[in-house]
Amino acid sequence: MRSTACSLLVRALRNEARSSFSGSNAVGKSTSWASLASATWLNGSRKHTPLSVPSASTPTVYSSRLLHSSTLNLSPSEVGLTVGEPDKLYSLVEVECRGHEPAVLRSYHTFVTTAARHLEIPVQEVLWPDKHIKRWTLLKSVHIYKKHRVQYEVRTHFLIMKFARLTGSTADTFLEYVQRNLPEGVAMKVTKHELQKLPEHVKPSAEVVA
Amino acid sequence: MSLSHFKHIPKAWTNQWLLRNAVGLQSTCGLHTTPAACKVQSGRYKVTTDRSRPLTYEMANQPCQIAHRKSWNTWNTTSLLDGQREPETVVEDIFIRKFMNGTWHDLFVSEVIIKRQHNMIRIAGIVQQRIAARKMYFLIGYCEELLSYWLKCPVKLEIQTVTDKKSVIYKYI
Repeated sequence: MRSTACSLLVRALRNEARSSFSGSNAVGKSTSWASLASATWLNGSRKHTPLSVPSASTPTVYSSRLLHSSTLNLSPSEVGLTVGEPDKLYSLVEVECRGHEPAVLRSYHTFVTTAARHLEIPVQEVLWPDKHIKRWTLLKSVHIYKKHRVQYEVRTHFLIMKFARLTGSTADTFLEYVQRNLPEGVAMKVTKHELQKLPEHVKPSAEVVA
Repeated sequence: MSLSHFKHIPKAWTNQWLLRNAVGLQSTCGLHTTPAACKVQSGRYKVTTDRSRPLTYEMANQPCQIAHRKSWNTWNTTSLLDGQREPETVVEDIFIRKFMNGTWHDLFVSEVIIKRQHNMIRIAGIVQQRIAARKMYFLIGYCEELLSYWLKCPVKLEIQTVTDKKSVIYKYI
């Protein structure tokens, strides 16, 4: 089930990635790809006509069966794309995982990097920062015996994975897939660095040397 | 304030919290503990003369072996750096364990394992096949339904069964 979903993801996102980084026509193309890609995961609940896109750019025909059996159903609020709106571009998506067991983090790292490789998402960097140990000392006995203590410690291990050059749809899909398979006892923090055009009122000053 | 105030926590309950010592096991019998005799006795079982006491793998490994030979019985992110809702989670765990042990009366042969993933609680454990399968299905549904109403989140039971209690015994001491 996961492999078929992944291969569908690959096809949809590969076409989308290609179009979004291709050039000046990127904006127009990426919206249609985005709407097509998002429509396949939304059970056809979008208002615009999802499958009436020009046939020259249609990669494959998604049967209606797949709309209902996919495991990654993004709600309309999560995708947040409408017709005519260009997809967001992220220069960097940073995923930080924390856990008590390094073996669990290592296996999760294998899973995430494999998924990124299948979706052709470039993994820029993988960091393993030093573990953080919280120690505290308590009295061993309920009453007196000050010289006999007990020490506890809690260890937190870290894993940071950085993915470069993603579109908004790719990032949403990939992160949703990866988060659904987050093991118990592992926490995740995602930082997205978005690329935006400068606002219109900000202009280079006359003193700037070209 | 020492952790031995929580005397009702059972002996074999292990948690990230209680890395070294379980609580409430020292100075409960009115013994005069001298400093020399004030040694660790948590999670440790006394050897019998005729080697008749059965121990599961979990019981055989002491709390100091957690994260070495042993794993935790509850999996959540509350004790991580910047983890949230730790005390509430602990209390919920105590309640779940009491509830499960009471509902599946004398049927659990392992500890109750609690895993929190996203907003779901997954409860696992090994149960003896002493009641009919239909009754087991009823109990699974009953536990899931009531616990999800009490804890306000989806609860899933992942029970595994074993015909013979002796198959989970690791050694006799």
